[in-house]
Amino acid sequence: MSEQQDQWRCSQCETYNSGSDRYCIICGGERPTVPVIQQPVMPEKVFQQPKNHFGSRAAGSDSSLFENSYPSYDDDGTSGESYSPVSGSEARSAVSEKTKTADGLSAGRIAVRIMLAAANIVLLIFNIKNLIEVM
Amino acid sequence: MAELNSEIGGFTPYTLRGYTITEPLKADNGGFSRWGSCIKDGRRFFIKQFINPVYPTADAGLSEDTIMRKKKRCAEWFSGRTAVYKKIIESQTGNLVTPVLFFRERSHYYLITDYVESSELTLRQIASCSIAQKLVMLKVLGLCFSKLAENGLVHADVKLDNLIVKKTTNDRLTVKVIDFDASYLESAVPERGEIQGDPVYYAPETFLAMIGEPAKLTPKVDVFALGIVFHQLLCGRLPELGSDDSYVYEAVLNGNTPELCERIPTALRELISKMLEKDPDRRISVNEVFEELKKMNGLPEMPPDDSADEPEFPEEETDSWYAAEDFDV
Repeated sequence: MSEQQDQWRCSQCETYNSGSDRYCIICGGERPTVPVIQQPVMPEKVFQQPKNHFGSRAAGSDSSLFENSYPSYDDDGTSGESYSPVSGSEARSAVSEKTKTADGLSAGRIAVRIMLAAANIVLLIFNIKNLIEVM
Repeated sequence: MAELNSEIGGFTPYTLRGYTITEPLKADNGGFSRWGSCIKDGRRFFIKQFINPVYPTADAGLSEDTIMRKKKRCAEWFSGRTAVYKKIIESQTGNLVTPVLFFRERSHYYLITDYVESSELTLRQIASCSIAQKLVMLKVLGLCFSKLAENGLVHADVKLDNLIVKKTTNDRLTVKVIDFDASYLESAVPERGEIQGDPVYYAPETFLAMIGEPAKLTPKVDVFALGIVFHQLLCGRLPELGSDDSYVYEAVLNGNTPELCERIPTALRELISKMLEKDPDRRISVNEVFEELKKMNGLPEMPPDDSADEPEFPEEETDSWYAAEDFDV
């Protein structure tokens, strides 16, 4: 993922460049100054699972495509096989949705906050206990 | 398939998989397909409807055996195309017009790709650009095709019609590669009768394979065609051939050397010569082409074309390459 996010697209020749390149490898165009993550990136190699018999077999071995009988084909023809790569931005948003909550914090950050809160509560109880003893 | 209520000029827009087609798909210059543009979520795309193969529907009045046979052929074709499209996406450099969705609706298959706006420049206008600008276009193509070759994919129909010159920021130009209908994986070369392409750009081995002679079809096929395209982009015309030869591949097979435009800088002319080598094993690879292009800096500007007043091609031919309505994706 980070490799994909590090890419940037040259505004002059529209070639994807790696994050380590300051200038476009094709035309010498300078890397934009806006954060790299906001630049368009190359589509990721994420593919939507085919919906039916055709597609799922197509994604696998050709040789086994017709080893079974045919009744599983769609005979009404209204919803045939399909193939769709998921774009980089869609894939990224799908991944980030899994790790985000409503307030936009990642699960990891929430865990850290809970631990800090717990530590603060323990510290508070300890301090109150000390205060009572002193009194 | 959902039909929309509003009728536009006798045509009722309809929606396929969320893509709204607002005008009839056209067959002109589309080969074995009809094409047009469509809109989804306010974004424009190209849509192509394949005329072949046709998926047999239950009401087609065919025998059970015929239906099974046709379904098998459709599934094999779909599987083969999907494998090619995956490789195109893996090869993306930013300038390959890649598939967005490939699907069947009732009896037809459809392909959705990104939409590209053409600069609508003529070939002569392109050829009169600075050498630096033209070198950028050659490098863009070099990178695109070296990535395709790296992934074992042969475009197999490289020609000006399948390139879109696009104007970008600061009036710079870039090139987009479209139409992978004839493409195949190096590991799944088509049968003799299924090889497609344009004879103007055939590699010698393509012609030999078509007539049943022993020939190995590899990404070097694209290198040969690219050599011809490079020549056209640089000087606006095809290499000169002797009176006995109609095509570049024919000249090469006959042992004749196509005459390259002398206005082209020597380094580029030598590169094109290596790309037009008869023997694919001795022909330069597209990766080597790209590496050589990267080393070329400070090339001298090409002298003006003395024959610029005389059109090399009929006007409709040169204009049609860049006309937006001629895109074939």
